[in-house]
Formats: sequence, structure tokens, C-alpha cells
Amino acid sequence: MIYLIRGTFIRVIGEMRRYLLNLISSIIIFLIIFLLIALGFKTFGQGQSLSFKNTAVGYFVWMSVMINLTDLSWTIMNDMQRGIIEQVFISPFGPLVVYTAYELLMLVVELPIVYGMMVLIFSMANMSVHVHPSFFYFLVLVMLQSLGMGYVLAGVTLKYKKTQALLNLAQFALIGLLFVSTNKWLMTLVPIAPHFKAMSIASEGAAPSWGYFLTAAIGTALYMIIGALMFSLFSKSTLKRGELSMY
Amino acid sequence: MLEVLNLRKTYRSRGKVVEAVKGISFSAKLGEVFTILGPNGAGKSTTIKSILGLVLPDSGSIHVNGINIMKNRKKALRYMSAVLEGNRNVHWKLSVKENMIYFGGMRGLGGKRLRSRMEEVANLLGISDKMDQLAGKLSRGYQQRLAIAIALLPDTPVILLDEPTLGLDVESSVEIRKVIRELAKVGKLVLLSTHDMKLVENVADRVMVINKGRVITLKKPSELKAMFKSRSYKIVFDGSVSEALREKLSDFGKFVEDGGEITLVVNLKSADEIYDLFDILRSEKPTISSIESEELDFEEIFMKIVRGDEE
Repeated sequence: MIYLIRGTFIRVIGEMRRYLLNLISSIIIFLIIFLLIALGFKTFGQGQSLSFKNTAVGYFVWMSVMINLTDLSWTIMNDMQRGIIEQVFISPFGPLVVYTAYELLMLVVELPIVYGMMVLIFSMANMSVHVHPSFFYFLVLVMLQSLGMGYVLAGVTLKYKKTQALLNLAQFALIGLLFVSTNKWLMTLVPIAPHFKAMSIASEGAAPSWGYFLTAAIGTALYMIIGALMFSLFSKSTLKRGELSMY
Repeated sequence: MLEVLNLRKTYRSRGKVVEAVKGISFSAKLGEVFTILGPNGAGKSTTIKSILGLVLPDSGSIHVNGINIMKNRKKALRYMSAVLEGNRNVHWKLSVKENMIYFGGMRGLGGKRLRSRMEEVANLLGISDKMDQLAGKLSRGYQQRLAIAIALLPDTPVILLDEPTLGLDVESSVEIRKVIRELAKVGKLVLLSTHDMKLVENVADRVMVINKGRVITLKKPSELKAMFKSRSYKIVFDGSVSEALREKLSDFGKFVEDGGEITLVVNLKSADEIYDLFDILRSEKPTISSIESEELDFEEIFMKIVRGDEE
């Protein structure tokens, strides 16, 4: 397993170096949107109950979740085009483990860049980022949960190939999840929402209640399991149809 | 080492049903170059992908080193590696070295073992001076060498190569032929699927010709050549040949007229037909200047097998 991680790390770094312009452009877009939010908040946000800090932290988390949700599908689409997806499928580790290693390493490499930028902007605006330590617990869980949902989209991509429009649609659908009823039981089942509520509390420096810790952990495990099962089902169906590389 | 028994696969898509493989069976052993030949759509890729578990067959069984690939895919894959679809098995945005580390890691290879394997296969494939070059910037021949090098990293006893010389220049093709023979010499089972008859002639220990999802023949290349040599003759007539005789001999082959010389190019469907042919010649007594056994190259043999099957 350690060698799989090492090899995958080499791929992640190699791709990042050779697609450097794309990485820089993504960061610039990321920051421009953030600055527009800041401008909007300054112009229209007077008297709103939500603090700017809360909104800014939420934005960074939100963007990370969105990237995480669809990245696996984009990777699979690229691997199908490159013709290396078969090699992933004949790895004794299996595609789920190989791609999970890839996505987790992407997070390990990308998240410090994104959050480093956030801290930099906050310090330029003379704002301090003092979040409750539990913030990072929920951050890790929300990333894993979005990866779980990403497995489902990746499975759909394996079977139906060109799913670019679906991936865009999925990002909008995710927004809807945040407006779901605040009913405690319903919220437990809805992905992302409990994590976001808890992170919102933690970003103000307060500790979320224990219920949030439990709900987020159960929700994450549930969606990871559902995602892995769906990915395996779609993989099996694709192999049965003999359409693995037919992008 | 590899046993395929009664393999069947039918594809269904939008109401269309295509029987790609209809009960293919064969076995191959270590130290052998086993070649699958067949026209497009014959079922070669489906067979190879089924062996690797990349296509799930409807029925039949595939055992690698006694392990059923359908029941214990991950364990069976430890004994196999493959290069599929020409040169598309490498990551174009990674260097040769990075490709080897990435794909090696995917096969559970790392540390000293990976380093020594990288050195060995890079030397074998002649890519040791290209380690820092981007795979996408290599020529097609070198990309294919890299793909094969990656497949050789885990040192598996079974190596499957799908069209390994497709689109390669003569020099690269010759190099890859040498590598394939070298692999068989050190005891690997190399399973090839190809259209390259030169490759078949030079490296294959056994050839399985398939068409429309069925095995037509499975023999050594020398046996196939001998079989067709005993069925292919050139009879050169001295003088004219009557219309009646032409009519009688038309079932055995084609008449070719070159200047004043009339030649019957005989293609017998079975070796036994030669007696019928000689019976006709004996009864009609035309003047024959020579009868020669015809030398066929592998491409002609392949065409005869496939055409014979279709007729």
C-alpha cells in the first residue's frame, strides 16, 4: 500500500507541475470569486446576522467540497481518454483503492495551497482566523463525505462516459442540500448540511454540540459506504458490457 | 499456466445482440509465445480482456496458475500484466521514470525492488537513456517500449500484449520481436494478439486463428505452413488447355495466363483432394511442363484459413 501511495504521489506532483498554468488559473478564479463576495458583503451585507468571516470560511470549504465531489469523475474521464484506465483496473489493489489514494493525495497537496491563500487574504485584511479546533474534524469528514458522493458520480462516468453536464448539475444540486429543513433527523441523512452547520459554529470560535460530531461521523461513513457500493456496481456493469475504455 | 474453457460472451446494446465469443477453449504454458490471430471483430480483444477480467464473460472459465479469474480476480491478477491498445497505456504528462514509479506502485512495487526492476526493463527495452523524458514527447516506438517496460515491471509469469507492433517502424518492430522471444526464453508465457504476420512468423510458438468468435485452428506456425504447403501447387501446362479440362479443374484453383504459359494455381480445401486432381489429369492427359509446391507466406495462410472458414 505504501508503494501505491508513493507512486500516486509522484503522479499528483507530476501532473501539478506540467499543468501549472491550469493550477494557477484555478487559484486566481478562486480568489476573484472570493473578492467579489467580499465586495458584495461590503455593499449589501450591512445589518446581516452572518459575519463576513463566517461567510469567507464557508466559501473556502464550499469550493473545496465542490472540487472534491467532481474531481474523481474528471480523473476517470481523462484516464479513459489516455487509455490508462485498464491498467488501474488490472491493479491487484482494484480501482476503488487506486482512485481513493489519488483523491486523498490530491487533497493533501491542494488543501494547504487553498487554505494558505485563505490565511494570507485574511491577514492582508487584518482579520484573524481563530476557529475552534473541531473545525478541522468536520473539514476532514466533509471532504471524505464529498469523496463518497464523488464515487457515485465516478461510477456514473465509468458507465455513461461523457458526463460533463451532469457534473456541473451535481454542483448545483449540492447547493440545494444546504437549504434542506433543519429537522434534526432529516439533517442527519442529508449530506454536507450537518458538517456545514457545525463548521459555521466552529468558525466563530465556539464548540458545536456532541450531536453534530456524531451526526457528521455517521453521515460520512454512510455516504462513503454507499459511494463505494455504487462505484463497484457501476464498475461491474461497465465490465459486463465490455465498455471500460470506450470513451 | 493459462486455461480458457468454453468462453462465451454476448454483447447487448440497444436491441442489438452480438455474439463476440462462442465457446473458445485453449490452454497455454510457461515459456511459450501463444498468438491469437483473427480479422477485425473476430473476438480477439474480448478474449484477452476476459482473461484480464476487464470484460465479464457470460459463461466458461478462465484459470491462471489454477486460480479462477472470475472468482478470485485480485489474486489471479498478481500473475498477469498487460499492454492493451497499442501505445495508450502510458501517462503522457509524466516522464518515463515517473510512469514506471506510478504504474509500479499500482502493482505494489517500490523501494530497491522497483529500482532494480526499472533498471533491468529499461536496459532490455533500450529506454535507459530516456528516463527523464516526458512520455508524450517520445516517438511512438519508444512509447510502446515504455508500455511494455511498465508491463514487465512486476515480473509476472503471464504477459498479455494486444497489438504490440501496431503502427511501429521496422526497427522498433524488430526490437519488440526480440524482446518477446527473450521473455519466452526466460520462462514467461506471452499471449499475443496481432495482425502483424511477420511478428507471428518470427515469434509465435503456437497460433490460434479465430473468426466470428470461434476457434478455426490452433497449431504451430510450422504445422500451418506444412498443411498449406501440401495444399498449394502450381501446375504449368505446356501448350493449350481445352475448355472441358478448364471446367473440370476450376474447382481446384484458378488458371493464370502469362504470355504463352498457362498455369493452374491450385488451392486444395483438404490434402486428400490431390488424388481427385491427379485422377482428372491422368484421364485427360494434358502436357504438363512442371508441378511445383507453392511457398506461402503467413499472410496468405491466414487469408486462406479465414476465407475457408467463411465459405
